[in-house]
Amino acid sequence: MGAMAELAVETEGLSKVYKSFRGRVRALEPLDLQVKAGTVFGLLGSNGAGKSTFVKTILNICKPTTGRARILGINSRNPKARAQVGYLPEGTAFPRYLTGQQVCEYFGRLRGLSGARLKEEVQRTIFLVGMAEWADKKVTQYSKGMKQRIGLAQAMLGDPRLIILDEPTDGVDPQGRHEIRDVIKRLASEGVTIFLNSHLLMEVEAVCDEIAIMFQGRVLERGPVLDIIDRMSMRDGKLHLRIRTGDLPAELPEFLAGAKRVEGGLDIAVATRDDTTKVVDALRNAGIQIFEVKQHRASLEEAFLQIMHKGEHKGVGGVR
Amino acid sequence: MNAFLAIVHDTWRQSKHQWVLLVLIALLASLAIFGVAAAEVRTAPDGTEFYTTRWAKETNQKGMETGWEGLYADALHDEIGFDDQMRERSKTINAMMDQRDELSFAIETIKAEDQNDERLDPLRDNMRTLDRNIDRFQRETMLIRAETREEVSRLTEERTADMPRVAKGVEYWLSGIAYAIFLLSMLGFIAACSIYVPNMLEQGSIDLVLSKPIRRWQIYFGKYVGGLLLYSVALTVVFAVVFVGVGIGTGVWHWPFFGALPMTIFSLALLYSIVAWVGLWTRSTALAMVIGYVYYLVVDTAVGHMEDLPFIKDFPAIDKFSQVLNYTFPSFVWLRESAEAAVLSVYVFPWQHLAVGTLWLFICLGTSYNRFRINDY
Repeated sequence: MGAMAELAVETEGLSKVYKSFRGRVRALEPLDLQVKAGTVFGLLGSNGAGKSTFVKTILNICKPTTGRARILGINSRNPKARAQVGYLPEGTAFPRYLTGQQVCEYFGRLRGLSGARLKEEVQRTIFLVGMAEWADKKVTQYSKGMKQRIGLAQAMLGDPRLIILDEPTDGVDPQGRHEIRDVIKRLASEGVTIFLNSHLLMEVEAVCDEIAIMFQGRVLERGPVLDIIDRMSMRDGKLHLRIRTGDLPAELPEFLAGAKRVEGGLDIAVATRDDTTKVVDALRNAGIQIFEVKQHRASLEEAFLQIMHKGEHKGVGGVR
Repeated sequence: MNAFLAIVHDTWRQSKHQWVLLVLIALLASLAIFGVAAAEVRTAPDGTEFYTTRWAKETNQKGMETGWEGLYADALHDEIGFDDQMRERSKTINAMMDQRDELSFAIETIKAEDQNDERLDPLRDNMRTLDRNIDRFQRETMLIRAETREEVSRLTEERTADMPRVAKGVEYWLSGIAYAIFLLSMLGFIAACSIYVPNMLEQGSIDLVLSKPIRRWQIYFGKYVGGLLLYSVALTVVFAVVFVGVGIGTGVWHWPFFGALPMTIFSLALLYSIVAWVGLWTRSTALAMVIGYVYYLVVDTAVGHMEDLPFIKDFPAIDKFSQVLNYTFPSFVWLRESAEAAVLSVYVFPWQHLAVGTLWLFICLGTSYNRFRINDY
């Protein structure tokens, strides 16, 4: 039970097939995924990868075809599992006849809050997302960014232990994005687990501890952000260093036998990041001046594209 | 329960911004004002008071009690089951007349070939027997009519002997108001309630609601109960306003007026369950509204009046079909007549239509909830 409680989200063989008159669409392949409590987890993928389906399935908004999900140790089919969850769906449509404050009050009541606690919570979260001035205006008057903020406010009501955000910065201006990122970071620092669904890679890179990358209903990669970037930065299983040096001798030390001379320095492939030190030591011992050591490092975007490319070549997932 | 009430409350709040419902309530309020203000008590030269419309001529000494007599007799006919009995007898006599035509044709055909054919005598005997039976049957029917008339007069006398003219006029007037409220409610409520479920299922809105720690039955039935409860409250207020207004104006506090409420609300609940069912499956307000109107205006009219069509006896298949319809679809015509009769303190209980209606209510609510329970959003 103790180990269970450490996981905010846990799925076992969770899959989803949508059936319609036109046929069957396999939106989610059987998926085992664990998200540790207290982390910021990012689920990445292009449009149609199955991110939203995954979130809806763990929240029981969509019924899984196979497998099961647990939220904070409770079977997701049990409404109690959702008692500790705040959720901001993609493309939120609030009742048009409500003000921002009424939206929060309504969803707060659905969450089980009432009386003074509800009022306090609504005021607190609206203030946190910077919507206090606009709270008594109808949501029809809000920009998309303002709606997202109100959505975020209602998701934070009642101090949930897990907050699931599906494309939270979609349609939000740069300043708004920055503010939403700040809120996410603040929540994370308070120990709230954040599950972030996004295709905005910079945003994910900026806030997430761990990520999973989905392609056509499957998770192709998962792990800490840096590890994934490292893996994707390798070529032939090795890290590549570009070293700007002074004049090089005709004969390179034995340790650097595999190095390639390039203009202004060397290109060297090493097995791990620790080998960088050994390379630097060898150069020094050989009396070679070192001006700069740079590891070739992919951005998350490059890593993502590589993974997508691999997925496409393997022909995973898809419409059945 | 808190969450269920939140859904009910939200439905009420949503209704405040629904112009169709607001127009409907305004029309009901106008009807209530009209019901209170458009009729008055007058005194006849013989000193008796009667109830009539404000625009009736001063010389018109007949109050609404003349209309009441016909209406009350109709209600008693329904209570006794006279119309059903007559309908059955009419079918029987038609069948006998058909049989007579066939016999007559057979006799004429044989006679044309041979006047002395020995087959003619038994056929003529059959004809005579049939004529006697028809004659007896028609006498019996006339007797039943006469007995029913007497029974209706006796019951009317027994139940309303002490009723003053004003009270009869008020009963008649209130029965008419109940009829108008029923019609207006049914026509207006279809448009008003067709928005609730499709609106609830809007993408980005339903997933947010479903992500909360509440059960799906609370969401679906919260919407259903919320809409129905709101309109029922509005309806009760309208009934109360008319009751009090007419009571103050005439001194007649006619409590049976409220007897029309249960049947009206039941009819609304039934219609709403059908509209909600369509709304849930199609997610379309327009389609829910159109099918609601088609059901109420076309199917219901067919069910309620098909049996009364004059030519139906000539088409046994249509006759059978109308009987099947009667047991398949609830008739709002019958439910409305029952509501009207209740105002006259005549309690007609259209059990068949109530049973079929209740079945429809449960089937529509049950299947639509089940769909909502298992569906992905």
